[in-house]
Amino acid sequence: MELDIETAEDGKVAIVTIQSENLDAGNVKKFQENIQPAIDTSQCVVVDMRRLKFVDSSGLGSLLSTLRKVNTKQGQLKLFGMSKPVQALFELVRMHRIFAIYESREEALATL
Amino acid sequence: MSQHSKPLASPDTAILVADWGEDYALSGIFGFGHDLVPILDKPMLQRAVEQLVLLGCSKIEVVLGDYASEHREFLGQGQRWGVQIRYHYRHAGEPLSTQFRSWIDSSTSTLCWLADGRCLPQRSALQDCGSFMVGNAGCIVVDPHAEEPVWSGWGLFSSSWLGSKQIPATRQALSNLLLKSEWIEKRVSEHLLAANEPASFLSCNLHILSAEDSAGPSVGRGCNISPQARILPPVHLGQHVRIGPNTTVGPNVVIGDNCVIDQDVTIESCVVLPATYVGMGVELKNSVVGGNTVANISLDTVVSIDNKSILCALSAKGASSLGDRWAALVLRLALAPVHWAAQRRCKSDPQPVQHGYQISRALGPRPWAHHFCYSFYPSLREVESGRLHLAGPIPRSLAEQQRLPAQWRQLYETTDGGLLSDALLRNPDELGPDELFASDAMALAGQHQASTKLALLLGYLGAVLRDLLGSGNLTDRNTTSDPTSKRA
Repeated sequence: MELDIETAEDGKVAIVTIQSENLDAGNVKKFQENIQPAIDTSQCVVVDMRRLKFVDSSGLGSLLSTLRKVNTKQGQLKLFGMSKPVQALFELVRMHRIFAIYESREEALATL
Repeated sequence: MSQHSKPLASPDTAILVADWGEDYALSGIFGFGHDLVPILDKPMLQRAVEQLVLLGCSKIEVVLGDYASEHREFLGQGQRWGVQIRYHYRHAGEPLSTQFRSWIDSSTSTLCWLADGRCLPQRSALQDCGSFMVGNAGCIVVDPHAEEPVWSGWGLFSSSWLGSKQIPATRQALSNLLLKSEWIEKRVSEHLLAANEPASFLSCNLHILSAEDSAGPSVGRGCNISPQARILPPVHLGQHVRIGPNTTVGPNVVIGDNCVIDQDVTIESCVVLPATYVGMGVELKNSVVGGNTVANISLDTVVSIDNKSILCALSAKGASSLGDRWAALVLRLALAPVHWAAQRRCKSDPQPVQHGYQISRALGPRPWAHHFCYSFYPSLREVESGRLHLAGPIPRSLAEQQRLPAQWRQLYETTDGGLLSDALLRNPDELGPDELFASDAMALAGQHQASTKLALLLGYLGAVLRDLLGSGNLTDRNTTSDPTSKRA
């Protein structure tokens, strides 16, 4: 699982781009390892999900555990750019009530 | 804050908040998985959209709430009403104005409706709002029955005011702000329809029923009414309703689609929710009835009836599809030899403790064979009888469900669980609460998808066969009979 991490707002915001098309049992451990530095160093983690086409229960679980870690630090986790299948899945399992989901990067950053 | 001293362009945009995240009491009482319960013949959300269309809106920005997928599916893109509908999520804790700014034209010359999908004021009160905008930032409609003014959830505002930084995220906070603001005009609606709990749901239905100018009862398509039945208007019968002989329905009764009212029944001032069976000789008055539950408004009490000959849902919650039932029967017959072989292999191992359909504690070297023998195969009968799905969230007792966090517990509003799930194929002992919750949520999403069920079934049977043949080097799963135990 390759993640691109860039920072904005003087390091307060980490923008994490998921490069893979899947977030599943095969790469969740790597995802959690790679996103950990962003959680440790930034108050707000913004995840770019534009490339993601498929999320399974392990992937969903890893996003929930990321949210839990960010919340523990009193930080914010924002997701944007969900593809239609992923968005439909999030709505179906009611995860849209748990995560802050935005259409675009600009919209996500505007709410900081 | 913006004030306006000249007439503004008539509004063609509305922000419709589908729900403000407040509990929908009817859902909890009658077990619905959404708030799209029809009031007479259409849900409140549809009535709200139609109200906005009649007020001249052509663009509706829907702020999704708890039932996002259901609302999105129900409203579509708005073609039904000739309007454009766009959807947005509401983010708890974030000021609404932050979101509004990106959806609406915030110039001072435009107006925008703000509407509540669970409440409906009188149209004339809303039409009045336009006249009172001059000199004001907005005009809201307030509840006529409350002792102190309460915002109805509807109002007309200048877009620049809505985009200002003052709009809080909760309805209560916004209501307080609006009621205190001197720039907001307040109008009273003669009546206000809201149907969040049984009493208001009943009065709402009866109000709309009495408002329909019809001399006789309204009877839906495909109804079957016995010649010996008495129908006393005003009465609304949905589609495919069956009324038995010597039954009296009315006055002031709304019966939903696909209901069966047996013989010698008396129903007066009631709403019977869709797909409900009312048994022989039952008398119902001033109540909302759905499934096996009666909410008696006069007595302010809710009663559940266990006797299915008195009252029951015709499509029970958690009932598996006919396909699942047939599949379970075929599986039980086809897997009988595997069951026999598994029993022979496992007979020397310690017997696991049975906990209903739960994943039984697997002991010894053959955890999959144990699970198949003592949990999966016997539970196929539960699927056959419609009590369980073939795939779905891990079945949990009511007590276990009540111990779950709210979001997790809500998954069980529409299902009692399934035999197969992703969590079962992985080692539940290695899964944290997030993974278990995610697995249950995904299982709920996939419980009606044949491909998901087939994949889970093949994965499971493959593991069982490898275990039986002794070729698989499976880890001792030590699955737990209490999958909630890790949640602490």
